[in-house]
Amino acid sequence: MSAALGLSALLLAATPAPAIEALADQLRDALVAARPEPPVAVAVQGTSAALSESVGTVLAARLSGAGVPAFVLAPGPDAAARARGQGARTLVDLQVRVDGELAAAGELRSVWRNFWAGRTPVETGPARVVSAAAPADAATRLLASAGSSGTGLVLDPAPLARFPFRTAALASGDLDGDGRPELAVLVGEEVVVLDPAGQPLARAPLGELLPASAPVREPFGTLCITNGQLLVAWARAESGLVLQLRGNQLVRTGTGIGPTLGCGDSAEPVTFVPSVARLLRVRGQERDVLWGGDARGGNRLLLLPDGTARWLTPGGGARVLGQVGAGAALVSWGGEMRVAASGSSVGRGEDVLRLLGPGTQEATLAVPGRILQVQPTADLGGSPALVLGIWTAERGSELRVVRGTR
Amino acid sequence: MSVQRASLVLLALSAGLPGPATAWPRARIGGTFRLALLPEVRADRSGDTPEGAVVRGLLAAPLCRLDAAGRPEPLLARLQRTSDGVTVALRPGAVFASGAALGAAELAQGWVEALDRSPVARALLSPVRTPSAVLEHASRSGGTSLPLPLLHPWPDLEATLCHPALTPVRAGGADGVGLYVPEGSDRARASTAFPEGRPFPDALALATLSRRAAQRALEGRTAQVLLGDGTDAAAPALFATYLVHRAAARPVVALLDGRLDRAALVRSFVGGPAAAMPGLLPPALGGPEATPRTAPGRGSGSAVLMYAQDRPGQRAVAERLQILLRDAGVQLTLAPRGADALDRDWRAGQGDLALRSVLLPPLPAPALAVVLELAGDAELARRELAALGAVPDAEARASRARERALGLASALPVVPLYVEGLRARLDPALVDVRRDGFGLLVLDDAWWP
Repeated sequence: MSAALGLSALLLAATPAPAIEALADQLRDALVAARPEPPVAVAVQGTSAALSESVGTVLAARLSGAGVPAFVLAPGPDAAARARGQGARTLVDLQVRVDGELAAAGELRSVWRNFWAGRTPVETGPARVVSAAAPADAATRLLASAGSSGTGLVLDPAPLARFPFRTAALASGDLDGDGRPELAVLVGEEVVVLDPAGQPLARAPLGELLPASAPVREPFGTLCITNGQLLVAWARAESGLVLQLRGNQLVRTGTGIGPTLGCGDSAEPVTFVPSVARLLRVRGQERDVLWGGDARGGNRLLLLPDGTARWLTPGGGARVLGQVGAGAALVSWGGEMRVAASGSSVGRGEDVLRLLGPGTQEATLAVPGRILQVQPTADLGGSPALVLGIWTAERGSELRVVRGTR
Repeated sequence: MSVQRASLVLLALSAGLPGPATAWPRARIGGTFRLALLPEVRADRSGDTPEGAVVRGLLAAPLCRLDAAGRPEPLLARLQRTSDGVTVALRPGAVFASGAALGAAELAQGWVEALDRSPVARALLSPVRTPSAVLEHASRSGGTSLPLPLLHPWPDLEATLCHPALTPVRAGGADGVGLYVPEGSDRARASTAFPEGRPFPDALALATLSRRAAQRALEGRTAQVLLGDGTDAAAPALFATYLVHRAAARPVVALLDGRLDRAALVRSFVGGPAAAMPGLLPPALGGPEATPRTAPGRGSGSAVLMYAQDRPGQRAVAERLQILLRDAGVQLTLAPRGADALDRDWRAGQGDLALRSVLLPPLPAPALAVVLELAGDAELARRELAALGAVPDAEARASRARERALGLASALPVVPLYVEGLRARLDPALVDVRRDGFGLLVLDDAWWP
């Protein structure tokens, strides 16, 4: 934090980043027009502490210069209470990120509490949504990335496993009750269970299942490991099945399983779209056709076939992510929910894995091949890890492990 | 922050995102897959040539696919070894374009017709004990599996059952279990019933064009695949052309010995991708690449050479042979035939010489079986193949087959001439196109962003 502040101070001392200045000017004009009751507390949540500090400082200075006394406040859920505690009558709560351009959006609201309203905290006074954007420059990008080097991603040099066919689905979880996660892979016409070192423990052929009436050409399906059971839904079969690992045998213990988004308690049932590698999610009147998605801890991730993704947060918020490919997962990384997503480009020998946080993109990693599955796994040696299902040339595939450098 | 406000903020933040990506990590569904075909490719409806087999493969899938390493991958059938042979277990759900299900009877009927018209089909099924009787019997019974009892051990049978000549078809080849269902002569629509799933494009369009027009179509991206022109050195060349002859015509063929320059023949009359084939097996299967030349002799008399009139290469080579033999004092009469008529008429005893082009399997032992079938000596073929099939190790069997090909070269009434690879060009934007063990393009998974 102190290093980030030092960096921001250094950059501001030289010449304030023009993008931040332009953004602050636009925000000042919008805020002044709303005639806020002074003093104003400015709380900015950015992708890095340095970016938040810079935008907050410049905006507070601009507001004060325009005759609206303002001060900078640390962002957070209790910002309103803290602003009130420091004597502010108005709070400006902003989110800032850099995505091709420097964008800010947020709200202005009164934090004055009417004593006569009694014990119920009624919010009154003007409230307004404000937003602004300016083309990002190098200094802004530097500030946005400052301090985030601790969330770098590293690809294990050797694949965990290789297959002569392409992977259709991937799951991680404890199947044998030893407390360590196994990996399950739907590949070719079978399910293979691997130990954490990538050695096959058991296989279950799926070729004898009743074929789907409108089968899918691309390898496609969902796998879920929950309560020691492996739930298999394969788009080439009419219905899925439940398997249990007993010794080195996968034993069928149930049938009739359909595909799901996510796994376990937060799993959401979906259906296969006939003939094509897509899932159909029906919620009331809404019908989403998806490449795939995830569900974890109240979050939902929906991968849309136009190369975007919708991230639905527990609070009811929705965020649209751009340039997301067919492989992505919600992952608890460094104590925060994030999205690990493949890129949406194709035709090259390389894909990009991105780790997207609550703010903007935090880390990227070039990966050879096409990433079709992303699976967070509990423990492959201590650090947070992702297992990727990667399609290689010549119809083959491999599993590779990505670790965080935090 | 309230829920509503949070949504507003997030929407405002996402408004600055770049638009939807234009590239696709999953296959794009839709569009029309356009093939530009040279006239000789369009003429090969039965898929005897590599180019014709690629086109027909989209409308009539083979039983299995031989991967580039020579392993069969099941497509319409699984192949199971039994104590006395191989059983073809047909995949449930495979349906012909006409709506008929693919059962053992339909497969057997198709193979009976194939035995009648294709020397390759006859050769590949020759290790089966009384193939005609087995197939006649199966074509009258039902079921979804076809047992093929073997006359002698033949470890390469599974791989050779993937040959396009053994593709299950009905109605004289017009009705297949295809990725696309024909709608008229030059259009077809994606089949959702295909066991491996529908192809990614919605439709297939075949355009018959001159070489120039086809090249322009590919460059202008109004065609994604051009068949009949272009080369790929990486693919094995297995479409072999032989000059077969009657015993009485042996003196005529002997005159060619000192006069026939195969490399010049390929260069001037066949065109790439092709290579001279001095031995019975092509260089791709380990056959010799050169033979010593002898001094040209002279003779007299006349002979009739039959060739396939739809193949420009065969016509040019036939005319070249006519000139070479005229120089040697022999009057060669050319007798053009349709591809099917050529096989029928040759077996009926017409003509003294014939040009025969066959797509060889990519394994030396079954390739030698095809050469022996062209030679027409069933007893010799049975003896040779039984001895080859008795070698259990694949590599040892392949090298024994190469030895036998060298040993038999002077005895068989079959003169190897040249071997050709697939002539094709592709739009570089096509994704997931591969080649099978026969060197053919597999376009089943093809799509473009």
